[in-house]
Amino acid sequence: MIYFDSAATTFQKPPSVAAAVQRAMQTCASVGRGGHRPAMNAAQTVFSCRELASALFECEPEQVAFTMNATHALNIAIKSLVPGNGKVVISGFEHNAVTRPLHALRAECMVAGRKLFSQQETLERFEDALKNKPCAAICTYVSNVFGYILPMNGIAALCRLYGVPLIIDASQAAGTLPVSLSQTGARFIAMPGHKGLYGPQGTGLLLCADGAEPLIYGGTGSVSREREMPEFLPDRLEAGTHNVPGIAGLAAGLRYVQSRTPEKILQREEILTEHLRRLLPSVPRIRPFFGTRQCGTVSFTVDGMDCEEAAEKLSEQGIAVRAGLHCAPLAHESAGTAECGTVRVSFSDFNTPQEVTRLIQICKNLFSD
Amino acid sequence: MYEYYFTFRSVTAASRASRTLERAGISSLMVRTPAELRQMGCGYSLRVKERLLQNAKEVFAQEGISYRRLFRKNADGKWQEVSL
Repeated sequence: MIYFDSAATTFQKPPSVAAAVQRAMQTCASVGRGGHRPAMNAAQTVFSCRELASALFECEPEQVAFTMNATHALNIAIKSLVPGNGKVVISGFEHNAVTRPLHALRAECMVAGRKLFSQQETLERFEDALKNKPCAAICTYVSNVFGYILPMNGIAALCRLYGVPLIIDASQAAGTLPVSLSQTGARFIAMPGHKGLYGPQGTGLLLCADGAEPLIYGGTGSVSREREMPEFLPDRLEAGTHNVPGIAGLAAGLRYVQSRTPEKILQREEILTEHLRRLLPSVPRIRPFFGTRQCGTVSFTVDGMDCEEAAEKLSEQGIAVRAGLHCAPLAHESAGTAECGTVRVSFSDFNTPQEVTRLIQICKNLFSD
Repeated sequence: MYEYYFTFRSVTAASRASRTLERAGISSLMVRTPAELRQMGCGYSLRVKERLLQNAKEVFAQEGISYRRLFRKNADGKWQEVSL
């Protein structure tokens, strides 16, 4: 099987990840809940992961909060900053992990930048919207559908200029593109642990500058006599027992990214994207979506064939891709594919150009008249 | 030889302090904060030997590590807070 669905989750992980999960299950108890050896093993394991993340994303270890996934992290961030009926600016490429919490809050959303692969237009629309004094700006770093890299440094600079707190959804960027809490001045950065960081599913991170409000309440192993949740991070956001095996696996994934370096992983994904860019137009009936600033993900449609049918045919040939709306109807509306959806090919550090060539051969066989 | 206990508000803060001392070559042991030293319930402390105390304090100051309080355990088992 050739796996091209890493924008959903990376399936091929470094072997050290599964080994770390197993080791944690055999040696670790619960963090902050005792002074015995298994509890201390858990504390060390979890803190190591915080340290690795803080080094990679340029923040303090205490500013790294563990979550179940990026959606969980985004919910915390959004509910910390956006009051009911609040006004926010979002990009035209947001995931439902952003738009659904905002809808639940009855937030007034100004959608800024809907032109696919146009960084200039995105920046201009963001600046226009930020002048309306929203309570927050929320922006994906990379579109999960099209791989479009949004001009995050420029958006962050505009948010600083207009004094608007920024939430970055780094779901498709963490592990490949530079992600920095301190450099961007973002209030929150949310990301999954199980995509570009190669951790297990069920792991996520929220990097918090300040103003984080808990989404769930409960025991933290600290200031236990107080009825209020602790004021300090990360305890404020981490009620209940941690996913210690998952976090141990995430630490192993972070070590992999650290040793490989995000730059080299990005380089590999760029080579694969470029390979696909060269070959895909040679396939009959295919309409690909390519742009100048694109990272690791490519969408296409097949003339006369439903995207789900195309993905199913590819699956029968041993190619794993994802079709449909990718939980991002807004992005599809922006690109004009909301009615038909797309077939999405997304890479990881474990894919090869040979696999891309094989995909093209299979596409030619399947989609030729 | 006395033992000293730096108290911290959370396991994360204690872990960070422990890791900072470890990098500076100063041994310490992370333990549950003894009952007599607790203020608001559960917490963690770092136990440091007397001969390493001054170095530990200097490293914390240099690295911006903040602890809640510092206690000395006397030979009779009683606790004495050390003024900062």
